[in-house]
Amino acid sequence: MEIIREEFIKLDINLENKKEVIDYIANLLINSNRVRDKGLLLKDVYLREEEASTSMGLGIAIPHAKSLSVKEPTVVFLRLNESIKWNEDKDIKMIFGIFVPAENVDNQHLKILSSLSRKLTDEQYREALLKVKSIKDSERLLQGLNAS
Amino acid sequence: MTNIIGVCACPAGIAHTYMAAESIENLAKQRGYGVKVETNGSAGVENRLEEADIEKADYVIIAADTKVEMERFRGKKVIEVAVSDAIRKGEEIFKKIDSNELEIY
Repeated sequence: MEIIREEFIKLDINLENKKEVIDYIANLLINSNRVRDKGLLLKDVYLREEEASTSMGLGIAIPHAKSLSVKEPTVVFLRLNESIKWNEDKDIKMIFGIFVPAENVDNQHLKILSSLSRKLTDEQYREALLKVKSIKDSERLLQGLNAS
Repeated sequence: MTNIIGVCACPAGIAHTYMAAESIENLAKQRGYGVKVETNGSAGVENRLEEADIEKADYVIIAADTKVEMERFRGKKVIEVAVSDAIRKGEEIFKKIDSNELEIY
């Protein structure tokens, strides 16, 4: 099972705000059959956002959910043309959506997702993601995600 | 050598727990400190702190938005912060450690 695929990587797109971003991701996941219920996914993503912002001052927001609506562990990577505001942060240019089923998740997948989160604290890695020019090269940078 | 231990935990345990752990580990390593950080995430408890780790630790960082088992740190110098603070303001946490400002739990 591939956690990330080319269709989950979108570079230099135009989205205006957090709501548009989350809606865009939800549609992407529905259209690629990774999610069975858009409404439930949105509910779970927003519940998590209400607990605490998923932007951590690194220029990246990480909307995520462990949700009954999710069929397979999936990562979505969006890079925006223009930075947007995400709660208290104003400079969000990259979004990693991380989605995990509510039950029976392979521990190997959880480990892959945790290693991605760890990598995102590395400034050089973030720089590389900001500069990467093609979907193929992005996939290469993120390829650790499909290691299993 | 100064030894730091930590525990990171957040509600979903998918992203921020691990970002906070990485941040603490890197800041400690930059200073030449020994470091071990337990993560309580969706994959369960990883890198669990053993009694020996706690015994030799000089400072304890708790970066958590959920309940962490604290009694094991009785008598240690502890700082408790939100998980986001370990990512956003890690330097501030370490400044307090560097100047020995932590209180005994």
